[in-house]
Amino acid sequence: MMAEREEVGTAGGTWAADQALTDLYAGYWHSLVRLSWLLVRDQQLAEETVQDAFVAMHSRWSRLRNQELALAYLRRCVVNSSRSVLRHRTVENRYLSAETSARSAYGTTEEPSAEARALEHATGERLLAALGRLSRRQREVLTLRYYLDLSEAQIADALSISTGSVKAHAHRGLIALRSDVETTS
Amino acid sequence: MNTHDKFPDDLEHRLREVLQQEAARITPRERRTEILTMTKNKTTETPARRRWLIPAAAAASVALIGAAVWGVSNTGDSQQASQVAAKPTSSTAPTTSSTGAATDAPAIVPPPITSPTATSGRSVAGATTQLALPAYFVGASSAAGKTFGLYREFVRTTVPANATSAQKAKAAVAVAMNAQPFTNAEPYLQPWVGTSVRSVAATPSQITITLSGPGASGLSAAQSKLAVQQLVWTAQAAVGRGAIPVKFAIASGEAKLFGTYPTSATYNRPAADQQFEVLAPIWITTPVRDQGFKAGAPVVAAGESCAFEGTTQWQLKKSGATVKSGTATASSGCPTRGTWQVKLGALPAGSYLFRMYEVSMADGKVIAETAKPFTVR
Repeated sequence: MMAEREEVGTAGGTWAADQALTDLYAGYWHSLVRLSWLLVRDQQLAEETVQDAFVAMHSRWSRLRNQELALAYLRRCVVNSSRSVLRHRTVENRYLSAETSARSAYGTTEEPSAEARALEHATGERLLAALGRLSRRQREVLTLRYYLDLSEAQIADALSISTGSVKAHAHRGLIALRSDVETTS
Repeated sequence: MNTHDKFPDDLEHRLREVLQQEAARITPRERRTEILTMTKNKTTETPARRRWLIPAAAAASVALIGAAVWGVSNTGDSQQASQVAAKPTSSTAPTTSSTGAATDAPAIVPPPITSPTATSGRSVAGATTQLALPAYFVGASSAAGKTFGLYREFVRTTVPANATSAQKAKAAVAVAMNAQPFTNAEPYLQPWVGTSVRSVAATPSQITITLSGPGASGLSAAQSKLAVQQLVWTAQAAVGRGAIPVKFAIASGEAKLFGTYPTSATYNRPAADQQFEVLAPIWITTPVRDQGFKAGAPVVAAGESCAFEGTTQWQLKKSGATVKSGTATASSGCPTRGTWQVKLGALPAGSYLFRMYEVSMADGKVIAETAKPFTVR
């Protein structure tokens, strides 16, 4: 049935792309927005990032052609766009000043002050803050692994790095996280 | 994995838990309609490339998405931004040429309304991108044409590849001020005919819109109030940082918009419980105008309303005859705006009109209505 639809030409292809979009949206919109939110810490930017990823996926459907590849493509788009957002955030600090949350240091490259660290008393807060102090790659790997429960191969694909690098980033990330949490506790 | 990967404590377990909790702090808003609108307005894609090119295309489009989402205004990054932007425009969709060739689009895309705005984009290739921006329009909210409210359209328009929020707002305001492409299909007024937007500036605390003139004459007080509101809503939506006060400047020197609204004042959208005074009581967000559905696939209509007890009536018409009808109950009643959904089921091929209206509890008259045509094939 699916193969038939895709071979009936542009209109059928468009329909198949619409259908794929509807299905993937139903299944993954929430988790992808939340993934982006964990990386950029701004709900609106996260939604826009994932929205654009879906639009890009739709236009490439004829090359992706199955949901698994499409989902992998969406993940790559979301991670990469979230990273671009972060990269520019360090330049455009007006967003930082606009953030009122205690978690506003998350995602920046700046070290928070000792007072800020002292305030991170709740375990979750401390762990999140420590995650925010990891290198970008380590944070991405750990988020994909522990939030989305992706395999090393899937993480490697989403970040366009080797599985060896995924292992290394995860390992070093966990060590750094552990030592950070211990020193601040 | 060697033993160093295994942590004696439950760090991994806690990390998983904390990330799940943190993720659950937000509830992503529904954007399916916006996404579908953007894909419908998009032109057909370029022919399929060899498989090994996919990652490169993905990376390139990602760079563009990043630039578009962020809207970098810092000049230090402009060189990098224009380099990455140049790739996707050549490898994915050459915006300028493909938007002009609206006839290439499959029949499912509604070209008549989006193309005039799309072709008014800049002719500089490689430095622009297409974004679907929300624009608000003043339209009649009842068949009698005596009441008016704002309607929202997502319009795909050309903006610089690394557009700042102010540039996006200027593009969106320009779209909102030109209701003409919509007037064949929608009961929209043209309060800004003869007026154009000169510039938009945005700071975290204020948006300033400079217009060429004070707006058209002959509008009622209610209409001109809405005309000011449509630009406020449009600019705020494009800037995307909430209800920032909006100030107007008039290049031709007048001190009042429509002879009534002083440029010395700032304007804002009303508080949530007052928005019913500005927004049209009923919006249909799905189907989008002239959307195409596959025969046999279930069609679901959805939208927003601010109606008494959240109750509105609907009719599905085919060739002028009502084929289905019913009552919809929104998630909340006025003054809170609610969302509603109507499952129309699988429909046979044909041209349809979905009409949603509210009947007055006092006298049974239709006090608000709107409709959207769509097709099933």
